[in-house]
Amino acid sequence: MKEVNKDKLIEGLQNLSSYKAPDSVWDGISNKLNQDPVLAEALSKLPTYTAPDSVWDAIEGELHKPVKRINLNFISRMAAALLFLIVALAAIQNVLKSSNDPLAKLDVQIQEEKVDEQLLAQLQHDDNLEFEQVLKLCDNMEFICTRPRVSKLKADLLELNNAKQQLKQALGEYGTEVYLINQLKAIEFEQTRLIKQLTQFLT
Amino acid sequence: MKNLIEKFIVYQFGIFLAIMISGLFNLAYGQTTLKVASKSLTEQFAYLPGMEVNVEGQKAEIVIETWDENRVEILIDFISKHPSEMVARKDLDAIRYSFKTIGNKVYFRNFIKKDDGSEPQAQLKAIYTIRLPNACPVYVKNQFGSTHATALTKAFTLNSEFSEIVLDNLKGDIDIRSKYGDIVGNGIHGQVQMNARRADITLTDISGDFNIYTAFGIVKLFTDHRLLNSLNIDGEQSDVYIFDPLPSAYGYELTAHYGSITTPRDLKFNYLENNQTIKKAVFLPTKEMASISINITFGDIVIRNP
Repeated sequence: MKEVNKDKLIEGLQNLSSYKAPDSVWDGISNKLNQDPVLAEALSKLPTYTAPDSVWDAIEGELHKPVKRINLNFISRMAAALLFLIVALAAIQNVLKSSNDPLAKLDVQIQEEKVDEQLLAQLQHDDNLEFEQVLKLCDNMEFICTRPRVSKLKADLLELNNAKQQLKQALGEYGTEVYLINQLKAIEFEQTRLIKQLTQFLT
Repeated sequence: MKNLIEKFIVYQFGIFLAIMISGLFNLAYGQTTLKVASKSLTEQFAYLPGMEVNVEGQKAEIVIETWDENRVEILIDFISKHPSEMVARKDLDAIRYSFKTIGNKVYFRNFIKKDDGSEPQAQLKAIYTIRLPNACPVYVKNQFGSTHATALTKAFTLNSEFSEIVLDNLKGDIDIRSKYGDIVGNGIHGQVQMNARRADITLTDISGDFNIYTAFGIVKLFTDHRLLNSLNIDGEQSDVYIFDPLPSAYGYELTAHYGSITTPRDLKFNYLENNQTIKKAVFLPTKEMASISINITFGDIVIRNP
């Protein structure tokens, strides 16, 4: 069994009050034992052993072994070392990355560009509401929307919407490529045409 | 009276001031200033026969030109635009670029990816200006940009989405696939394949053999019977226009499902089928000339003398 509070046990044992029995008590016990011939004979036959000094030394050593305490100082040193290692590795990785990436070494030039706000405003408005409404309507009228002509219209509409979302994402908030903006408008125009056609079937 | 005059002057001055201020606001309104952060890079290497140049761009404006020098030169500008200089600088790093050589193929690639996986806030763009010998085959893949190719003579392959395509004076094997990006070409000569979805095709001065597939687009071809060898167009929900100074020089096989066929009056087409669902018209020229075959579903075919 593992003794958890070993130091307390040792301290407790050391503080125990000592008591010595008087010699007469030991003599009395001895006399009583010697009076029984069978016991006296058996006792005389018992082998005697002397434990080597090393055993006692080992026991004493175990008893006086200092209790292991968690050394906070040691942990903080280890943590600092680990942190240093991580930072060093990250720095090495960064250096390696920049040596692999030819762009990392290039100088950045900064200029200004004036952009027509009307161009940017084209990217702001969102009329996906009509598209969602017509799809909802389609879901509610499945018997019509499963017709080949109507389902084709719906598929085309979904394809256009997917393209529109991709374009919007590519343009972002500050996309100024007139070609892409015009394409977005063309898609919206076509979408409107399809929504009108689809609505005719659904209403 | 003097008081009145003073009041009038103050009133007039007030109006003048108001006009000036509103004028200033008007000037200010209508323009946003973006900070443009950019990096430039030049790659060049000797051209060896059999070499092929591959460019894969995202949000890239790619210009391909030819020259007499026996080397390939690529100038690349990486651009990031945003009202905040800090954001423009930071998002510029989201443009990734690589340059590899595998065997006799040279690969340039740029794509957009931020370290933290988020979407860049700035508007990003890469501009490639490529100069190479005209015999060098070129393969380009591009998205959300534009591709201009000029004077290549051996092979040009383009796979493009949401990008403007301008082809000028190309020869050899030409293969163009485009989705949401019109194709405009002048002087296209050779074995040509085009596949355009939701994209218009306009070609002038063409010769050789053409195979075109079109969906949701308008195809306009300005042909010359002395040059054209064969032309096949298949498509859906597209209109096809052929403009030729001598339309009677070709053999035609035209089919329009749920569409119409319009031909010059002096050309006596033989209608094999002609009802509301399908129209099939053929014309055989007196001399064996180039053939034009067009098959369109939900679209019109127009042959016209310009």
